[in-house]
Amino acid sequence: MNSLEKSLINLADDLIKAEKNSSVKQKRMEALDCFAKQDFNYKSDNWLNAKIDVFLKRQYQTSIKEVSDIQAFSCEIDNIESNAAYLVNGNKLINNNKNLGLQLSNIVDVTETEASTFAAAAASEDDCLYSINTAAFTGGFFLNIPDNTVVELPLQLISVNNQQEDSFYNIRNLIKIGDNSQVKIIQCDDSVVDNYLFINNITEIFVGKNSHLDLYKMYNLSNSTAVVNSIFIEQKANSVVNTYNFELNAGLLRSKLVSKLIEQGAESYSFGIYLVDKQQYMSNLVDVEHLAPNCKSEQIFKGIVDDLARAVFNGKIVVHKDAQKTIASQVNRNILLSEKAKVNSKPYLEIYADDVKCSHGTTVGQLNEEALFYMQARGISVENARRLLLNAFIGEVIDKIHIEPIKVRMSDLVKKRLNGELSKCNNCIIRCSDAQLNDADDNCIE
Amino acid sequence: MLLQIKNLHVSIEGKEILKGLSLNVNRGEVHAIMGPNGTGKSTLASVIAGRDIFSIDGGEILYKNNDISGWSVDKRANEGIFLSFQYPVEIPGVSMVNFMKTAINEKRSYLGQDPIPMPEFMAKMEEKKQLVEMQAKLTNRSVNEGFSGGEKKKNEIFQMAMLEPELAILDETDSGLDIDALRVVSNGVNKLRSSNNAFIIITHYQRLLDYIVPDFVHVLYDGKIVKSGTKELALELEEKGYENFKK
Ligand SMILES: Nc1ncnc2c1ncn2[C@@H]1O[C@H](COP(=O)(O)OP(=O)(O)OP(=O)(O)O)[C@@H](O)[C@H]1O
Ligand SMILES: [Mg+2]
Repeated sequence: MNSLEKSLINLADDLIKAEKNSSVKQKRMEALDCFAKQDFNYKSDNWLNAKIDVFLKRQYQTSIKEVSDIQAFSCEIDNIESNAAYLVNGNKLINNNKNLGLQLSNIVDVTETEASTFAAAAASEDDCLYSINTAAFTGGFFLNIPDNTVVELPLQLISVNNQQEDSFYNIRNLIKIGDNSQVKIIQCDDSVVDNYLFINNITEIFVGKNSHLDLYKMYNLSNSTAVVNSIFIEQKANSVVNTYNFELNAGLLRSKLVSKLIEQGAESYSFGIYLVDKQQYMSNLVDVEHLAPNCKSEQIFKGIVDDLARAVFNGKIVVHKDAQKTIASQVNRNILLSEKAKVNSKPYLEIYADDVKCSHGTTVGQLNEEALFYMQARGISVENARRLLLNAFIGEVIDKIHIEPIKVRMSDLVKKRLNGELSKCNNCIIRCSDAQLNDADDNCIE
Repeated sequence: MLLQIKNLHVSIEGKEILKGLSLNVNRGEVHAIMGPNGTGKSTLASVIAGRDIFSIDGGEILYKNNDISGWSVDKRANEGIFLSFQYPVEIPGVSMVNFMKTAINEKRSYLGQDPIPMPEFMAKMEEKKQLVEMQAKLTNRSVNEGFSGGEKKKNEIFQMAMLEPELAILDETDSGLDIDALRVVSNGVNKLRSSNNAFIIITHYQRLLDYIVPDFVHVLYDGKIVKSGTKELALELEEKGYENFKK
């Protein structure tokens, strides 16, 4: 057992002793037992999890630190009206919003009834990072949206690190949406210092009948940050969930999305982009489970991989026996910009019902030479021609964004990322306004 | 002289395509190049435009008295060389407006000028669209995406009109055009003709040359220009084909 495992187990022990919520306490204990058997068992030869082991070999502090000096955070997206709440250093919730018409609190404060679905989706046995998260989470957003509630403004849930020491965080979010409700959520992880971080994040989401959720997840972290983010969504009848994953920068990122369509007529749409370069590693694991008839699902994931970077897409659609009239499709497209860049793309369909429409497709390619020549023949430099093509490639996903300011912001960030401008200030992009980005050197913490 | 090609030898993947081709083009002239399929007409056009998949094994290309072998494709374009593609490329996701604006501004930046003001750009788009009778909706789409064969060719002439080249090479711009489109495209070219620019028109059909009257007609056969003459040569070719050039 290495020292990180030891300190996480000690942390879990302390948290179990202090846990007042008996059902959560039970879950923590079971998860800890499970983790004790697993340890961090990632193997570098398994490409789905490769490099996680590298980040896990580092030293991190795990204990809860009182948050004192809270810097002014503002997760700026120009022209967006939203309500923001912050989770600082994995444990301290700052929520200054009033009258949101919903409950937003720290997960460590939830009651027995509120926690009824806690850990219902993330199974400890499946992954040692799930078990340790359940055993040793120190905080997270608990969002409870009652029936018949339309939350007008997007909610920004921002998790920020401001500790100088290299840190390991287990963050746990639980989102419950009642029937006939609507909400848009923007989640980002951010750090104001550029040290080594390991963020192990689990979000469980339960969506009621006829409800509508848009979930935006942005990753714009420094090359020394590893994020393992797992989202589990369970959808009831006729609910619609759109998820958007924007993976702009991170040293290591594993994003997992599990969608369960458990009642008739539920629809799940997931869109993702990943821009990977240098020695970064990003993997996207998508698992859609069609468990009821007449449900629809679609995924479009597109990636650009440069330098020595590596990307993984592992998309799984399972259509269970009762899920007749399922419509499911999945597309993963990749562009490789260097000889050494690599993509592993594995779409996977498993169908047990007979009346279904399913499709999937994967492409890995280079930029279209003919198009590059055509543009150059009109006087456009090869760099600009490449940029136009790359932006066009990603544009198909950006166009799926419903919230206009986010769309504008994302296409701007993607442009800057593709121009190589983001790396100038790669640990504070989310907070940089456009004006600041333009002379990034002066305004950003290096 | 605007363009001077001397004894040009070009190959691809070890296969010799142009085998000592020479051609002189002055400002104010229109040259037609005809020849059977696969003799190297498009290769010649691509090589002048700077496509680097071909290897130049001998000879030289002088443009405005410069050896342009070291010039990039975009530099050539910004210096006034325009290629109307035999097969225009579809570029999904890149709008015509963005594409044209980028192209114009790159040229302006190359010439040390400021970017084109938006109203001026839009007015120019409008004017040139009318010149080639291009449907308004086409410029709201991605470059060539979903354009019909004829629309793609019109779009090439539209781009030519926008970029105002000094040397325009039209590679089978007439192929696939119906009779009205042929007239429109030809009118477009004739309106752009001036004493300051020159055209090289690659075609298989004498018919086009009724509309765009060339000063010279050349026969490209087996990688070389084997005969040059005036517009009567085109009529002769139409009648007799290329039999006489076979060895
Ligand atoms: N990219 C390439 N790779 C390999 N061979 C090529 C390539 N481009 C052209 N060629 C070959 O070079 C020769 C000349 O082709 P080119 O396209 O220049 O002919 P062309 O005279 O324009 O014919 P057409 O009248 O059919 O348009 C042909 O044999 C063609 O197959
Ligand atoms: Mg040709």
